[in-house]
Amino acid sequence: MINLHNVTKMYSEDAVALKNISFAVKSGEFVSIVGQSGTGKSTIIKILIAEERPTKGQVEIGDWDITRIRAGDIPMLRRQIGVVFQDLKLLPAMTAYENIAFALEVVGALPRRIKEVVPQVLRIVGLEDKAHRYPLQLSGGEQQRVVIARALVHRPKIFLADEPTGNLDALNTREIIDILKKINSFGTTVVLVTHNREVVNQLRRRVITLNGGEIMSDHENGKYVL
Amino acid sequence: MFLSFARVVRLSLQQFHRNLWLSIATITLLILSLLTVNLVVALGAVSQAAVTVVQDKIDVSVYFKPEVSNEEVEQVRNTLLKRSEVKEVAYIPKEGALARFKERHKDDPVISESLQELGENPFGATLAVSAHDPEQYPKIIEFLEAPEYKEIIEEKNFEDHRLVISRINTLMRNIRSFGLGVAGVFGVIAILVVINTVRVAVYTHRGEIRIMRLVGASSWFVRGPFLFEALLFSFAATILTAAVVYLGLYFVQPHFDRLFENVSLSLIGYYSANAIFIFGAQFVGIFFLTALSSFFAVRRYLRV
Repeated sequence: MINLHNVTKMYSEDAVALKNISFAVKSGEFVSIVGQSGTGKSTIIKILIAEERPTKGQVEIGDWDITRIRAGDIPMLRRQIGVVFQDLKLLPAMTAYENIAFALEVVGALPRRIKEVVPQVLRIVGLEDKAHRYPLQLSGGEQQRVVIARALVHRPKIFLADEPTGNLDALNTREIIDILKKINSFGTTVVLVTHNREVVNQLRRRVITLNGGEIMSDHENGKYVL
Repeated sequence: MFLSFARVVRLSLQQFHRNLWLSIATITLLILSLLTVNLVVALGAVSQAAVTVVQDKIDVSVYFKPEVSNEEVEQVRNTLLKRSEVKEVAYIPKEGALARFKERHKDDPVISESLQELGENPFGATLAVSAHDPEQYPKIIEFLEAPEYKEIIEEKNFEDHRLVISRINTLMRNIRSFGLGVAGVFGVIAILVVINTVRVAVYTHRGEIRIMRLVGASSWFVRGPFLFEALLFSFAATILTAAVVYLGLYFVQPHFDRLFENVSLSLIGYYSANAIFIFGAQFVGIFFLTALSSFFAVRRYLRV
């Protein structure tokens, strides 16, 4: 499903985010990518959604070689990947419902489909009763759930979550991880980027550990080893 | 297609409404830029009117010898009228010249007696020739200096006017150059103001543009609301500018009439006669500029 071959990302000569990393993620897998801040975890997510291009190496998602993706094809790629961003990226002037519907509107979905899908994803993340609240009227955990709901509307085969529990308390963190597990149980491949030790250890799934831009370890049923 | 267009329009109206103060500020700056353009247009019309008034007062009087018949003079007149540079030729026949002279000196018995003693009309016919452009007078004079006319023409007063005409020509050229210079400077200022205004408006939406891109919006779906907003801004700015211009002219016209007593120019009339062209060109220009500015300003944030 996802293949990275000898990927290097350099922002400048002395700012190397990723050094020659290779790994593959199978369809339906739940993989955690862990490591301390600045080890290139978020760079991997950015490369997977073509927000950044690798300096060297090759990245494939399904049949797409996204290292050679044309600018015009990037929106098509992004419609097939659900992404939860570290900084949420919610539109403050739109309600939770509108933020989620917006992701469907921009791809030309029919109003009937929007009316059908948005309440469904709101139900999955448990926010059906707060659909018409603005982001500022929601707690951090609720905002994060809106972002997850928005990432789900395209029924993606791949779900990328970049530090989704970064600013949440233990209870909200657990709820978010439960939602990710639920998404994975539908057969969706989940890639979770985090530096939360407890989350990774409780998950007991595959863990790829990055250190200084390189893969330090890659274990099935792994633990946070740093 | 229609659905996407409808969403672009809705997003654009939402943008306009949710950032109402920014929208008002943008339209205000566009109006100020357009008012600058209109100031140059109005000054151009006034200076052109003033020059036309002076121009209309210039003509070349051609005095024919008394023995030349009215028919011969008529022939010269017809030939002159066929020339492209000639605008008008006023014909004063011999009898008319005499009558005019008598009228002018009716209170002078000596002159009346002298005329009676002469027994015949001592005046020749006169042609007053006006050109379309003062710069064309030398051509007309050159034509009248042909040998066949030299014998029948007693006098031409072009020499008296040569200096005045030359000065007017220089003045007109200077006014045109100055007008173009002023229009150029104000035009550049207006363009810079518009570009900067649009950049600020787009900058405030940079977060939304980024989010739209990351959730899979195509470039044109992101650009659409900004282009439609440019259309709204341009339309509103042009209509409001037209209102301000007409209101301003309504108050300025009486002062203008007093200041230039001999110049009959209704600026309101001038604007009304050319409204579609003046405001149409301004609308097209400002829309083209705002759309182009927004295209480049948005492009910067599309690189996500």
